[in-house]
Amino acid sequence: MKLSSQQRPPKCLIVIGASTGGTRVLAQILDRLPLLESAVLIVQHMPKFINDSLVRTLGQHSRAPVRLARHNERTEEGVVYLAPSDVHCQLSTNSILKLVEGPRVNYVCPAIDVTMSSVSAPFPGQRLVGVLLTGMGKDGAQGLAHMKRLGALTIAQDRASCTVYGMPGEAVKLGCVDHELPPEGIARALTTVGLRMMPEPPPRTSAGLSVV
Amino acid sequence: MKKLMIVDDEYHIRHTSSLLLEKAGYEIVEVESGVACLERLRASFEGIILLDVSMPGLDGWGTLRRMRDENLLAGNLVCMVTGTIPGEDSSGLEDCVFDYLLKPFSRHDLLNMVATAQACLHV
Repeated sequence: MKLSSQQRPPKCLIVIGASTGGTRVLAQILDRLPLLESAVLIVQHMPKFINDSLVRTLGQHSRAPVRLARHNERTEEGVVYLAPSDVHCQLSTNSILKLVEGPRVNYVCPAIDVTMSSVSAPFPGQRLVGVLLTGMGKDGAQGLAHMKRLGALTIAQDRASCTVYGMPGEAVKLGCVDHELPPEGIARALTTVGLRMMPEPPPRTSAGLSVV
Repeated sequence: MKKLMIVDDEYHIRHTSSLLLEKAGYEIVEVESGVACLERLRASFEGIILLDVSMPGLDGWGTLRRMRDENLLAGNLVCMVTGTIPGEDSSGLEDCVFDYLLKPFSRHDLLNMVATAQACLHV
């Protein structure tokens, strides 16, 4: 039985972690991304009272719709999800979002480490990408290392473009980063790996001709 | 109204930042210390806070820690302004800092950072 695109895990799962200064970088990356056959999950450390406004702000920069992640929601390709504040955001079977209450990890909730560490081995043909952007502390480094062990492409924002090089620097120290890139380079890499979404082909007639 | 508090012990930095941001449409509150910042927050303030790290007495990280412990962060986005990268003294404050501006900074850097914070403050 063939699963529809809404039933199977996304062809590509991109998890992006960001903290201090991350909002501006996320905007720069989303500005440059075409629609992708990827589900994009962003974990940005932020106070709860700006959850909705950050969804709206990022939505103004994104071709894909941006939504606040909801518990038990199945991720879809071509959608950007933002993890809400004050709960950890995990992925079940690389496709279903789970919002879980729990203590702070690395002083933060949601923790990027918790999200990235919940990623499981890719399904056949599925691509995994982990990205760690500017931020204080070390959250996300262990999670990115976990994704690397699963075969994910791992990217850290480069030192020169970081507001604070803490989190990406910790990941580099762990030796789990494939590429260190500025925001525009990250967007290019995601466009390549994240599978650009092609327009639906026109429907065909019974004679096999395309209807124009 | 777009509200912004500048917390810096150096008068010329407060003054030049204030002039620039007032032109950009912000209502500015200037205070010269972490203690004065906390007093202003306890009285009433919601908006963007540009918080200098290196101040005599209660420094920027200490001020931010007090803000967090006294639940004074609600409704505010804090942008740290400093000449150095964060060290151990910022540990535990990872999700309290919206953005970070290294001195010396350009007008463009300041306005860009503040505009992003302002966009996130209002639905």
